[in-house]
Amino acid sequence: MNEMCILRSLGQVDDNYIAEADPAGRQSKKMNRGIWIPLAAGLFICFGSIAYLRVLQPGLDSPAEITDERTADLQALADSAAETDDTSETGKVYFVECRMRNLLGLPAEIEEKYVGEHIGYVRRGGLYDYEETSAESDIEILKYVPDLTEGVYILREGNDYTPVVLCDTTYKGNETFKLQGEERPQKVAEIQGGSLVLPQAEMISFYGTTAGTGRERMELTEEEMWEMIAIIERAERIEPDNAMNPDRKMYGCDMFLFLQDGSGSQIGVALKPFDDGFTGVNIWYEDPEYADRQQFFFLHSGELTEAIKKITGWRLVELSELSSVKQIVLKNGSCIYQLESDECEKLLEGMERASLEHADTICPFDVQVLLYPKNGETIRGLWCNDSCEYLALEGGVYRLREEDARYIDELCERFTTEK
Amino acid sequence: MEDAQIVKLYWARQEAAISETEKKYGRYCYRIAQNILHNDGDSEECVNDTYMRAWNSMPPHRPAVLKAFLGKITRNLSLDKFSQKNAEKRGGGQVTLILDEMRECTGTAPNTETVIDEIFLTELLDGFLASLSVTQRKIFMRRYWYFCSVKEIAKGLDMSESKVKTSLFRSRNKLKLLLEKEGVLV
Repeated sequence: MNEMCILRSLGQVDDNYIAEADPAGRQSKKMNRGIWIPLAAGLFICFGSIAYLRVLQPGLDSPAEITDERTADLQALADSAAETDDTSETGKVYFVECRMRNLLGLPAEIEEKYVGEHIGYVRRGGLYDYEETSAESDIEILKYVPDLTEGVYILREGNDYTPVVLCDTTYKGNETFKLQGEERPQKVAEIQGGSLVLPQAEMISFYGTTAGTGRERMELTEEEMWEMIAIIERAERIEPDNAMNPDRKMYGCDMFLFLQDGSGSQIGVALKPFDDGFTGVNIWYEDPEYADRQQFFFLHSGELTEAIKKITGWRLVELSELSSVKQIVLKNGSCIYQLESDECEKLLEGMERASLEHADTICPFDVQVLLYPKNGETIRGLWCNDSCEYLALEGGVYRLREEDARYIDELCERFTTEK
Repeated sequence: MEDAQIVKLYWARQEAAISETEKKYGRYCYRIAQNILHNDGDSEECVNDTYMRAWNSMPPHRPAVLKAFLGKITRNLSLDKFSQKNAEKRGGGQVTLILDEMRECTGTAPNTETVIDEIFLTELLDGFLASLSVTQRKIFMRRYWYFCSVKEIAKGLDMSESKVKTSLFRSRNKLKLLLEKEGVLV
């Protein structure tokens, strides 16, 4: 048997796997990393690390009027989608279940009294999304009478009422949890980056307050920034192939530098320190033209790892501390998912069964796991989301049991990948 | 047009079946062929052959997922053409890279005439794919079924290229272990 034999046999696998992986399927929208670093001289801005920490505030104001044009708008959107979408999934208007109710100022339980007039019928289009159907179905879309927030509808299945938001028909993967509600469906059709139902100013606050690490955001002074740059410049650059160390542990903290030069070119640099004095460095460019210049290498400098630990307020978390966690948020770039209480409980149980182990140094920790204990602090973790069993949690890296690791992956699937 | 209607056209031996197939899945098939062959003319030829193969297959076949059915035909035809054109000299492109990667799973095992039951191997692969997370599976399939580049996969799934490479590396190792365990590799 040779490699071509495997490739040919792979050609005959289950049709569903083929359809599932179709690259032309609904593309997940590129995340807005929101963090860019400059490389060039003349660095202007430098913010140290990811740090934020205000408790989520619903804080919504100015309820919007529901217009009678909404039903007509929905049809217009469906017609528009049918004209422009050349895939097999045409003419559908999607709604997605709104799982972050508190952020939209919605009550914990939706009751019949909140329900307004009939808008249309829908059918299930996925686990958390629904597509409009012209045929009568058992699931109905209704107006949300209080309408505290633009774009919120009510889904009725029997006596169960669920808040849903209208979802962009182009992107219904990880963007859906950005709550792309819009009063006007025409606007939804134009959504590119996922506008929120909240006003623009609120949106910035929204992301800021949910990206927290439990500490105040640290903005480096110009002097501090240059000192960091100097430390980086003094460090020895090591290519990944020459930097392998199976006993290495990753500190559960990292730092992003985002800078720009005088011409406005922006470059992002992510720094992930390890306990052996190495720091993983990932550099990327905002301009897609320079995407090929993305680099990953290591810097060897105890001075650098100590500086990062100091700035980010690194500490080693005892797993026993997790017992007081009351809320967990998963975050990947600008995509955020707040766990329901049962999900939170199950995840914590899995973490408590974990063991402190050495890190797999090639782990691409992409997902932030933010844990909010009762004492008001925040415990910050990092997760790979590729079936790797390691969870970096503040100062340590923990190995989860396979089934517990799979559960986190499942949660991540719901908001970080296309469906 | 719905897939079921297109299949009906094939069964009714109406030539509109081919035009409807081309309209709906022509680009999909072309992309698969192009990923493998990197040649417009060859890709178009494979896509046209796909329609003919579909015409000759339906009836008796009645595919549950027409898209995947057509994709499989295109992929097989394209791999045949790739093998034919590269019998003497290995060309560039994704297939060459992918074959090199897959060699990690097969090791240095010689290309013997031993016929591994293809059905058995496909069943193994189905089980292997089922054991992956959805994301891992998409990455694996996009690389080894659709022959996408790492860059394309990273862009399409909104993740870093290093993450895609890591995931592929782990999946290949997992596949290798499975093949060894099942006695496919000795």
